[in-house]
Amino acid sequence: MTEPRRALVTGGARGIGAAIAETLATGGWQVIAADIDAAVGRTSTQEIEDVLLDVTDRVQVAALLDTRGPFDVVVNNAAIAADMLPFAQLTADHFRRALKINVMGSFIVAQEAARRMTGGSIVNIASRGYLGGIGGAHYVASKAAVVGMTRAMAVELRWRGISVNAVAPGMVETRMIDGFSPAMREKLTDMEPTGGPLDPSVIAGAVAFLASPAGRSMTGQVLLVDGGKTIGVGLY
Amino acid sequence: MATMSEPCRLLVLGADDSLAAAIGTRLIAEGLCVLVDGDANAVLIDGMDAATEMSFLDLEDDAFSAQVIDATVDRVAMLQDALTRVAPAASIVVIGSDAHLGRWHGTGQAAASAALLGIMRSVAMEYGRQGIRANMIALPLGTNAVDAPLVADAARQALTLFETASITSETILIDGGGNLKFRQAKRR
Repeated sequence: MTEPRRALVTGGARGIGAAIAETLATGGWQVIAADIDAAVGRTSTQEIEDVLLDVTDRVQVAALLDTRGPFDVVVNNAAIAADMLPFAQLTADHFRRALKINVMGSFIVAQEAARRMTGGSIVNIASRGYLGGIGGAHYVASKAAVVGMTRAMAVELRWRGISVNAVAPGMVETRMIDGFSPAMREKLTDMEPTGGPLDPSVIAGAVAFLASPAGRSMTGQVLLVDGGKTIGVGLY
Repeated sequence: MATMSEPCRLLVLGADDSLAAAIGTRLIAEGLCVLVDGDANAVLIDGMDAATEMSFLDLEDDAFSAQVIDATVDRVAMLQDALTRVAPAASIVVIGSDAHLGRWHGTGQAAASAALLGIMRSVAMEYGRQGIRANMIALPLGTNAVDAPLVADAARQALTLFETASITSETILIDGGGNLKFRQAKRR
């Protein structure tokens, strides 16, 4: 009998992270769902253990990995998306906060995890927004940085047997879009090829693939999961 | 839009020894542009990443933060400044690196370069209705102001981007085919 495979999912308390944790657990993985907030609507089970974690705190991250690691798969999902303002209205603080949590946090978790891994997979959750957008350039910058970082990490970590890929979701039904005004939500929904936001389980499926033996043969790639919006599906 | 018969009104933002400054100096020396502080119809912005190499596993937080967060904040400030000093239908060209493609011992630069690319595309999208365009010229990491052939090529390309009204949100690699990575593949 083989040992259960172990996965760490940051931002795992809700939304896409919770869906990833649940999908991996259903697939036989032993999952640590780490989040700065307590999980909502779920109690820890043998398959999913919820822990509190600030991904920007290296001491906390190292302690978690020392006590619960090493992991076969690490999913960097913890992120913020706020203040989707026009470029001219964004301040240095908007950029610093987005880059610190979305990029620095992923960097710290990936680095501490990779130091303890002898193979496996790191999956960084980016966003379709990395390609640019109207409003929220700080978020765009952070997710584009995650993609750039993914490519560089893939080049170096391949020689340690670790594959590194990114998943770039389109609009997903999570609390991140709860903050949008009704008008903006309606406008964005109309633009979605699938007629509305994607279910988080769709993104979790892509992550599960990248965590699988077949997925691990890919590295340095960005998997866009957006119903085809990137190529204009739904615009015609 | 600048034309060959009318020198572009060029605003350059970046350090005096930056690649962007060298490209601007070349365009001015050839009579293709004149340097201005405002009402510019052509802008060069320095976005070249630091050439220091560090392995991913050894990269320290302070270095990563400087390469990614501090550099991005500086570039955003330059872009925001430029947008207050441009004429209608201006063309912005960011001079960046090719690090966003991913490179050995270049995690911070890869993140910073990709962030800049995303910001450039966002600016192109947000300001396109005003006729303002934004593009990026990406040179090999480590290219500096004394790399004359690359500076000359980048200057020619920048002028093309200033003059061509239908190009926006693009990234032009000027790397002698380096992105194909055939040399690295051969070495391995």
